[in-house]
Amino acid sequence: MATLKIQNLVKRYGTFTAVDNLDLDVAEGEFVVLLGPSGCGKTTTLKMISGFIEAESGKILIGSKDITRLPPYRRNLGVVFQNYALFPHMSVYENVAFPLRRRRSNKSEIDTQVVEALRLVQLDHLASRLPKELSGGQQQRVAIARALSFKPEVLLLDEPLSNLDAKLRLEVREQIRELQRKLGITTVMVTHDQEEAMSVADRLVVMKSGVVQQIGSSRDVYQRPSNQFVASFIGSANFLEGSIRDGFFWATDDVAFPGGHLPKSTRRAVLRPEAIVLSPVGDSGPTRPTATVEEVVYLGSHSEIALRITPNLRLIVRQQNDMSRDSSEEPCRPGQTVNYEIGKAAIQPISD
Amino acid sequence: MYSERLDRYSNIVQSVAFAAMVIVGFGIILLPLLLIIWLSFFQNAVLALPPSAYTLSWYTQLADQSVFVNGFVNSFVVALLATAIGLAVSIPASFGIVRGNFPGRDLMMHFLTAPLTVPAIVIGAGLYVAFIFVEIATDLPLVGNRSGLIAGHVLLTIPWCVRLITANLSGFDITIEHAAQSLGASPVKSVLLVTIPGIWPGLVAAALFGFVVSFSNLEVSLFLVSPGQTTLQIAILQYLEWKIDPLIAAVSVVQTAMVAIALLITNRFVPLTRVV
Repeated sequence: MATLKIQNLVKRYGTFTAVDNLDLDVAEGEFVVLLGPSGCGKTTTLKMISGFIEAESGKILIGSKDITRLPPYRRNLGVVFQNYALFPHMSVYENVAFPLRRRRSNKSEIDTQVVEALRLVQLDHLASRLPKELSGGQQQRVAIARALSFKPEVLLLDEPLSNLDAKLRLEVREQIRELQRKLGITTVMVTHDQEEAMSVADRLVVMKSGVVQQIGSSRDVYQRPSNQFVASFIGSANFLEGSIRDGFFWATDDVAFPGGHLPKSTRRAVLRPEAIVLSPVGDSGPTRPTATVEEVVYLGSHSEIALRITPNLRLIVRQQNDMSRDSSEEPCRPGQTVNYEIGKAAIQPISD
Repeated sequence: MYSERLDRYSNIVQSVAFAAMVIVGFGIILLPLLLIIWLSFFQNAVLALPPSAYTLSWYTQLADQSVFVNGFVNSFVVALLATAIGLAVSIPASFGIVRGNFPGRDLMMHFLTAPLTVPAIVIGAGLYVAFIFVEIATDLPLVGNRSGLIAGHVLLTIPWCVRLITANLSGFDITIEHAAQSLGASPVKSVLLVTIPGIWPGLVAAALFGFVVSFSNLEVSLFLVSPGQTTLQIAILQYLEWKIDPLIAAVSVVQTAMVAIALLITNRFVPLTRVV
């Protein structure tokens, strides 16, 4: 187990900059996920770590060892590929034994480690099968066992769940997380799926156009996004523009939002849809402002409601649907006037 | 109602026409073969229909005909070597064409498969003239030498090998090779341990087709054989110039049977319908 340090990593293709000056420190045993839309440079970054794309400049260190210029087969990293990349002509056992044989381990050592690795992913009973005789989820678990059998210093996962169907994806995701915790192996994963990323990561690295937008825990990134891109890529968001005066954030059409916690210089802010609470008019005193419901979209566990505050300000509200009550009727209907309330610290500043 | 009946009618016409074409096609391919097999059992040395009696004696005579036995051995050795050299050239070339990233890749592919588009007789004549020029200039014995013959046959095996290997190689997922490297295998080792087994069906098919094309070739050999070093095909041709008797049919049957057996054996290990 080791730390992974990336310093000023750059990769350009002609005039296109795929990865621009990336810095990242991954602590021992940490699970970091690179997240972003396609073309954001996350896969290029992972391939520079695994050695299949050559870094133009910058450094990659495992522990204190500089691996930037080492060929992939000397890096001692476990890599799991999106399409499993199992060796089709070898049994599950031989697939997992492959890295051990390359390291010239002796027979009994190989046997112990293969069985141990297959037990980790609960596939020791299928050791003699060929990859094509396994389901997609089982194949990906074999690929994980193969990447772990030689006890690499860092585990790299390249969109490991994208080829699986939705139900299996959840299952394998849980297993990856559990395994990573159990072994305490330093792990970097790449994905474009924000829910997948948030569910497994100790820290997220949100990227766009080769540039890191924000690094932080799932909670950090969701609750305090650094800019509009991060706020809209992770979850949905209302964006507000305005300025601070008298402890309020004055947005479009002079609508005031609680802003005592915001820095004086705030010009742009984000408001999560679930931070807005609706109630029937006149329910709880005259202090709450009113707005008109424009649209209601029923989405099962919750509904998304478009709320017209003023002619130029519309907010999206997410309202949990209460399943404990019999509610065949919508809690609110288009055209209805409602009270809305926004928590004291619900608004978060973002950079321009 | 009317259109339904018309549909059914045209369906029947379609399937009948299809069956007829298949039968005619197979007939055209198989009829000469069946005729030759039949002929090889005729007792009459001069062809007569119907034959007066049937015999196996042409087959027993075959072993005593040294032209055919030597021709067979010579053809076999030439085909074997031409295939081996063809593979040795085609495997690295295919990796270059499929994996490489350099200008002129398509050109190289066309160049290596060009012998397929040139009539074999032209290749033979061209090589013969070229060999004479080279021999005059360098004193290397090429004309009428087995190495010249093999060189000519290598030209025949390369297009088939390159076509089949590049097709298999481009269908092979390169991330599997990357996986091998990430697990500690050097690039050369990952090709040997993972890629070659992965494209094995293509390699077997390439070797087989190369061998058959070389073994059954007449036109190129005609120009390049030396006296006393004829191939089986030339021996057959020369024999036919003097007489037509069932012996020639027996030679053909033996030859066809051998190729068929080779194909069947290969098919057991590598389903040929999948690779070709």
